[in-house]
Amino acid sequence: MTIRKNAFSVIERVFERHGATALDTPVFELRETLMGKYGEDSKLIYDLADQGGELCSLRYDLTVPFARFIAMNGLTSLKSYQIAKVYRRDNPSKGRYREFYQCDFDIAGPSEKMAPDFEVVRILTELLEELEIGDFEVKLNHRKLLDGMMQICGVPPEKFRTICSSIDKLDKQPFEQIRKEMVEEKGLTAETADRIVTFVKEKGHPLTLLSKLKQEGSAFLENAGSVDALNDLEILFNALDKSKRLDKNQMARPTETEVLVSILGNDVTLARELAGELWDAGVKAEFLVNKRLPKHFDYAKESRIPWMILVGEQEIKEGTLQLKHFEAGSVVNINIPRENFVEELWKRLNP
Amino acid sequence: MTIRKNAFSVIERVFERHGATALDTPVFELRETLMGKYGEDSKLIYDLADQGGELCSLRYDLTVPFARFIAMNGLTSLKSYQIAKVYRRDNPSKGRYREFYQCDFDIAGPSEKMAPDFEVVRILTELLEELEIGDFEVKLNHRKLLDGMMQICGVPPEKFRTICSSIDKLDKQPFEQIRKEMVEEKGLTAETADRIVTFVKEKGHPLTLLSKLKQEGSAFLENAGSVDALNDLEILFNALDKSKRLDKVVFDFSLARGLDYYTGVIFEAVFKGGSQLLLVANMIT
Repeated sequence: MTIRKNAFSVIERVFERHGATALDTPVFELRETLMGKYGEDSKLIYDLADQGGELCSLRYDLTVPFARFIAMNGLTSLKSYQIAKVYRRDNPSKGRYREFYQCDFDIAGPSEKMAPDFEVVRILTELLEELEIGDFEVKLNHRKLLDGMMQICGVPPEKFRTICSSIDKLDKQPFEQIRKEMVEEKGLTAETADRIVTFVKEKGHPLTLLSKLKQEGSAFLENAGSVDALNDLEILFNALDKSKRLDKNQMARPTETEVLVSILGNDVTLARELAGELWDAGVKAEFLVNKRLPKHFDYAKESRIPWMILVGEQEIKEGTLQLKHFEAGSVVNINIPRENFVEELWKRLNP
Repeated sequence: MTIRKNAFSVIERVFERHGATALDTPVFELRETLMGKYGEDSKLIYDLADQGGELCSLRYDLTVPFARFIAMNGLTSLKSYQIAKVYRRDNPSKGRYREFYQCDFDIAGPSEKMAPDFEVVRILTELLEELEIGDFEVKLNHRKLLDGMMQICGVPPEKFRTICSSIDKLDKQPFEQIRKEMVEEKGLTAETADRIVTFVKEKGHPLTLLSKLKQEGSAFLENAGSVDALNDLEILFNALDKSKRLDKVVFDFSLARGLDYYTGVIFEAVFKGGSQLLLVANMIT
């Protein structure tokens, strides 16, 4: 219970950091609200008995209740979260329960293109990082791209959703079995099934695969829905790239460096001297000697080094150092004397 | 939501201070587990549809799930809490919801006489103080004393529970109406009903009322169950007094509480001078 409580408080913190308000919907909804929303899975919904009132069923997820809440209250936009249990009459198996928690984060309403999608993926990565559960990757795709692919392969439109269901099982069953299901159970031609199997093997670095799909002659460019999807994905991937969330290896800080000794100029000796005093005191430090100020800031930012000791001409003349602290977007700036700068810094590193 | 979150964290803190572990039971139980536990209120239970599996119903409170958990896991003792929602197909009205939170603190297992009862009442007072919601009092009574009273008044034993139900409504309906219900609907004689009405007006400082009931010639001393109850209450009141918590308690004969499975001490916290229910803590005795 403690592990769960701690995990939930981390998750709540991330959600609230993004400005979401907590939502608490009832454990059951009107049956009509849930009907028709879950496709093949509708048979897994728990119904409440007819005891004379309105027919209800236990909620199957938290997104439909969220949508119902918005519609019921006539809201035009909402950003909220709900951490609560949902109910599915599934066959219980390892890791698969009939009653289990979901941590839902939902955004509704008009916005800049792909902004909510970007935010949600960002939140997912922040969350998983802060939960410290290990190295992870986020698999991403676009429904319109899947539709486009199915059309290109020759799937009749009325079978799109059911073939999607089959493709969804690929993480649990081998290609051959899915191929068989698509042909024998769902009525695709062998040729169509084969073409699908070829396509769904595509996977790789977002921007790389994206340009491959967008290049001249790509079948996807002939499909209107796919073109939309490819454009959407380009916006999303660029935003994630800028936000340094695209490369999964960027998840952890590359170093544990606490202080960057930045020399504005070319005095390497001074750099080594200052860094040396820090190292003697057990402080994790690096130094950089460069005439251009932006280089120092960029480096600190990329490596996420929280403290900087900046020395330029002015400082050398006055016998001082500029101490800077980078924290969540703001920069703190103090001037300290050269003599006992390690002591001054140490006080702040270990308050 | 913030107010609720803060209240729950205060409540959790008090529960954990007393060494309770958190429990998390499913939202529904087997129908057979819930059947027969809630007396007249059983009609308020939400059933799940028969979809081919075991028949289930949404939990009505958190105490029966607690008991089921103990029985299922063969435990001999447990002190735990659960803060979760329960479900009742009641008529919704002000403050009365069909889905609402309960903060349950439960102790099971052998112990020194009245020790769990004392601890639970203590927790209730700590909780209400730390929630800082204002002046409150804890109305307290004992089911065996009520049974003794009903016997003394002439209520046939098979009607004890149903008359208890009537008495329980006294905080919401006037004496006259309850008297009428007991005679016309539940078949008591007018004389019996009148005697009950006189008794249930008894209320006051715990130790004072207690000595009154225990004095020579008191009808309660002739009833074995009542004698047990009076002894229990003496232990409890003395413990609360030593713990400086007795000033919050009012010994109130009109308190009956709704559920059939209460067999010993029962209590209810209200805003001082009022009858608005604040919180309920349950106890299996």
